Amino acid sequence: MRNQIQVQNHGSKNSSLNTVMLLEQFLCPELRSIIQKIPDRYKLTMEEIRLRIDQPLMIYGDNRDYFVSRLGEVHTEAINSHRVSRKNIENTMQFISNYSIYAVEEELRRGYITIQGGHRVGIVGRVLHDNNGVRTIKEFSGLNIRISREKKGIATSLLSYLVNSKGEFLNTLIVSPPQCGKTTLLRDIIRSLSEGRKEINFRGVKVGVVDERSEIGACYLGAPQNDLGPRTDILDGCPKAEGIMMLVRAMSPQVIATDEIGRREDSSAIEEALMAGIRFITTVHGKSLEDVYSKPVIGELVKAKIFDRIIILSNRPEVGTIEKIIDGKNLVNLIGAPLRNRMVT
Amino acid sequence: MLVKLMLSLLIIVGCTLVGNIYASSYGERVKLLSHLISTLQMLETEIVYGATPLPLLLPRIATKSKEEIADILLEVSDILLKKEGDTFAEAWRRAVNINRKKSAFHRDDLDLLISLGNNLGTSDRENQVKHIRLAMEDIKRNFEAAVAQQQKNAGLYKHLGLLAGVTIVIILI
Repeated sequence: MRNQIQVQNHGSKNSSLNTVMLLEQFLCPELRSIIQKIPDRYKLTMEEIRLRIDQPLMIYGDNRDYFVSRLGEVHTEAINSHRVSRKNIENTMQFISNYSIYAVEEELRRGYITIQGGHRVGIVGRVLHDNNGVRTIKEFSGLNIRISREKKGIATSLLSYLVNSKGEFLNTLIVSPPQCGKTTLLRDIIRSLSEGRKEINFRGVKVGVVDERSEIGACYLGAPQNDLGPRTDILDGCPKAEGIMMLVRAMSPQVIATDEIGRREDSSAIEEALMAGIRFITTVHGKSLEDVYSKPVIGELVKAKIFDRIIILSNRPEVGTIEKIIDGKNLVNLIGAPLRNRMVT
Repeated sequence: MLVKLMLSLLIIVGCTLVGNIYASSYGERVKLLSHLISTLQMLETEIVYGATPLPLLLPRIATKSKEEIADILLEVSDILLKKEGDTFAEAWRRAVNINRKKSAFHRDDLDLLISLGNNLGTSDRENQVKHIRLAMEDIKRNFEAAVAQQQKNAGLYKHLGLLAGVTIVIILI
């Protein structure tokens, strides 16, 4: 019975708490001592820590946000909240940038820094720009620390839908609104492809990843912080269209994975890769198939039936729910009921 | 008589040595300052071309720097790698102060260093270069002053030592 697949639970309680503990050392001492006191049950589901200048310290998790008091109590209203000061933000920036703003100039231009552990910190402040675009950000006014939790094993049950009878991977598109676990799922599929899955007789294949936003592998000092499997090559920070061509020429991948396709040149690069017999997996923002049809580049690819499988994610009843797996050729939904894959207990 | 002669000689030699030590401390500061300038030069190059973060960069420069300067740099990166929540400026100031007594640097040399620490790592490359250049200018000025002082005082202290020794001996005899 395919529809009753139970997704294994790999995200143990301890490792989840550990993630938060390691993350705390990137906060300035004052905030560190507050976040440390937050009750464990919030730490387990916490997805974001938000610092806004002169505003209360907040955390976000389980589809809602909370105010954090000076004693680490968690409220739905701003009671005794700790007000984030400019010093808090400046000092936290020191730890996040490894005391070296000049070393993260590139990242600042894109608006976020990837730190050890694969977490991403979004940054806002005063932007300096010139003819070539954004030059840098100064006078930081807000930080969004997004906690990345590696959830191994989500894709295992999914993979049987994504390979054909000959054991070949099918071109796949993941459709998801923001914050529904799109990248997490993509990452896990990449690892499964790279490692191979004996259960369904799928042998590991060479995977090339074009990680334009350093989100999939989350490279820190060149080394991916997320396990992407033994047969995976990562082009970190590379524009997609060029990256795809570089991989095709240099690394002989069997599957290429990228995040959000959207530019005109991306689609011609994809066509080029498909022509070379390479399979493709990518993601796009959207809620439904109709959403995707209306998007310029990816819509055309879907209409041309380039993708054999379209996975639709949602955050109901919780983050990472697989609503539908659609056969791209005849648009039939392959699963009867949504697959839940809650990883955190 | 022989004992007297020996003692006199001992006093003269001793005083001359004291004079020489005073004199050489001027030379030492000059040497240290010129080493410091080349260390800052390395720092600038690494920041501009390497974009290496400071906790990794400082030990690397330390291996190519003079001992007294290397001690400070290593101390800073030690404090930073402990991740106890010190900012870079705090770690830098603490490291300079710990090593304050151990070198021939003058107080205002070290104060210049500390004020450089307040700006290291806090801005983009372009800005970092400005801060380092500025600190180098200041240290160069100290260096030139130190050279002038050395020329003036080193000879003086050497002679003063010898003469003091002779004077003491004459008085005692």
